[in-house]
Amino acid sequence: MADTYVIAIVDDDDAVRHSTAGLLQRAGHRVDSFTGGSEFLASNLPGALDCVLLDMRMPGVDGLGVMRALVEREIPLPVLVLTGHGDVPMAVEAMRLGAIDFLEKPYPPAALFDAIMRACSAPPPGASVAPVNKQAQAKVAALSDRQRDVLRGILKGQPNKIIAWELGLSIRTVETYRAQMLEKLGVRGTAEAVRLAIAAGLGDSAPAG
Amino acid sequence: MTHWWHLALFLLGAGLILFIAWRLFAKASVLTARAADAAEYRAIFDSAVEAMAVIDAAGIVQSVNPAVERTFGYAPEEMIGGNIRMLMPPEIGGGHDDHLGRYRQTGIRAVIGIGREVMGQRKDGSQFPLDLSVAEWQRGGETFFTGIMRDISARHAAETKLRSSEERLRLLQHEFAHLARVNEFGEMAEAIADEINQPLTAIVNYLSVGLFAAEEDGNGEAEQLMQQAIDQALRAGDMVRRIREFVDYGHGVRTVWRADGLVDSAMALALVDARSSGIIVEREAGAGDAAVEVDSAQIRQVLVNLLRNAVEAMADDDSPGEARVTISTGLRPDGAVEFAISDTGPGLSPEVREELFQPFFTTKANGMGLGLSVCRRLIEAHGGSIEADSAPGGGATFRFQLPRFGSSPDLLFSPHC
Repeated sequence: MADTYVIAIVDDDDAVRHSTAGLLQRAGHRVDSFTGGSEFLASNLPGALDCVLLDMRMPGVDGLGVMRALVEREIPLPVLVLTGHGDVPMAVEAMRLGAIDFLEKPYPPAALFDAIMRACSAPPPGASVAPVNKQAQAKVAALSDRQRDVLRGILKGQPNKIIAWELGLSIRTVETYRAQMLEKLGVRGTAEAVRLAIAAGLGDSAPAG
Repeated sequence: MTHWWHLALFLLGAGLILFIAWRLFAKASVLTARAADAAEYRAIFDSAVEAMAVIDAAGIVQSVNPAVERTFGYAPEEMIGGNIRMLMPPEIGGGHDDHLGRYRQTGIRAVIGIGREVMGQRKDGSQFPLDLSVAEWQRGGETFFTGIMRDISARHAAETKLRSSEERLRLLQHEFAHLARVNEFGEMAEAIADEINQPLTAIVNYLSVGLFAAEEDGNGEAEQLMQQAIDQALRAGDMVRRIREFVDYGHGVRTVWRADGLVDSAMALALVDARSSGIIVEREAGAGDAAVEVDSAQIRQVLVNLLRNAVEAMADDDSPGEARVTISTGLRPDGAVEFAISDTGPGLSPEVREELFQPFFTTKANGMGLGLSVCRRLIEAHGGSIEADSAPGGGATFRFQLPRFGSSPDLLFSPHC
């Protein structure tokens, strides 16, 4: 078995919380469960954790609320964002607030373990902007100009309709570029593409070529 | 005795002369009176604003007044002796002779003494609505009809304009209802996706634990079955994702609007019945010229949802005191444009406030619980935020903020050029 981490799961759904805890414990980790953002923030745990699995949409203090609170309290806690809906603007916001990774429910167990591994071994966030990932940069650089334009639009939270309008293309063409772009990046969906784009620093400035 | 005869004859003659003179005079004065009457009628006939035409029982024009020429474009000599049909569109005029014939036989009146709105046709072929009233009279045993026709196209145009502005409001309301349904459908798809993804996640997790256990036990068959079950659950998740991408709502083309202009148009839509049900509507426009770059239909929907909620909250409230809804706009210190809608209803309990913006949460008997969650999603998609407050003395305030157009440097030049 690999390394053992102390992980918190914050999710208002009982079955998700229980099953995730079961899976992580089975993999040898220590798990603390919280039913909501305020409960998690009220505990004195955040500082003692290796990482937190954070659901975005919760009643009361939601995922982004927790992340803002962590930034405010300067708690350098690696956050893995879990979400039931691939709301791109929210994903981008979470990544900007320092989320290490972003998983759309339901996700394969391997993806969760990979993400935990990355999160727990990553340098603590919040110190500065996450370092630009060379591998991600290479992947984004391999895209055609148009494909990259589409990715930039997605990063801004724009739907195909708006991207098409801004680029002066038809929606169908944008859909084609989008599919090619996902294929070329080797990602499963939009959320992963966003993660890769942010890791490549595409959102910060516009790298030429 | 002869002078008696003379006197008698003289008197008789004088009397006769006097009588004749009197008769003549009387006749003359009747004639004069008649001539005066005729002249008076003629003057009325000629100077009337309404077009007038006299026809005989067969529909042949006997005389017309000058207004007929003004109204229809025919000179009197073109009309007199012709059939009155020429003033009617062919599809009506064709049956006019029959109408007259039927009236002669049955005495049943269609227009005479009643008056009605009909279509007329000018010499140039153009048609227009007119008010027609018809009087019947006899002379020398012959029947005549006088038709009085007033051009009412101006009145019609005004009515049409009124109807079309009502039509526009109805159309706008219809379009609004449609958009609201689309947004609610989108919200429902999102919420269902969200709800289904939770159990799918749990299923995958539990199966993964089972997979671990099967691996440890060396049970290859169970391991394989678990893996297949996991794949199917993930496949279901992919489908849900695709449905959601298909719905793709919450993003329309954005245009720049004056904040207060948006509010005014939403008020027209939402408060049609509010004032008549005794609710006081107060408007505080404090955003000046501040503009927002939005999908106007969506922000209007947010405003209408909030306004209707406010009105409904007060309609359900039996407590005494005035029912007042206040719609205000203003600029916040951080430059955002703020919209606030306050009511004097029962307010919100802390528990309700917590859940308020969750999909499927409702306090209404017939509500789906999507209105406010649609509001939140639409506002957040515009880079804004929304919250609810409840005053201690009752009443609720919903407030949302939108970035002011032009306040952020990268919006000063258009990204579309």
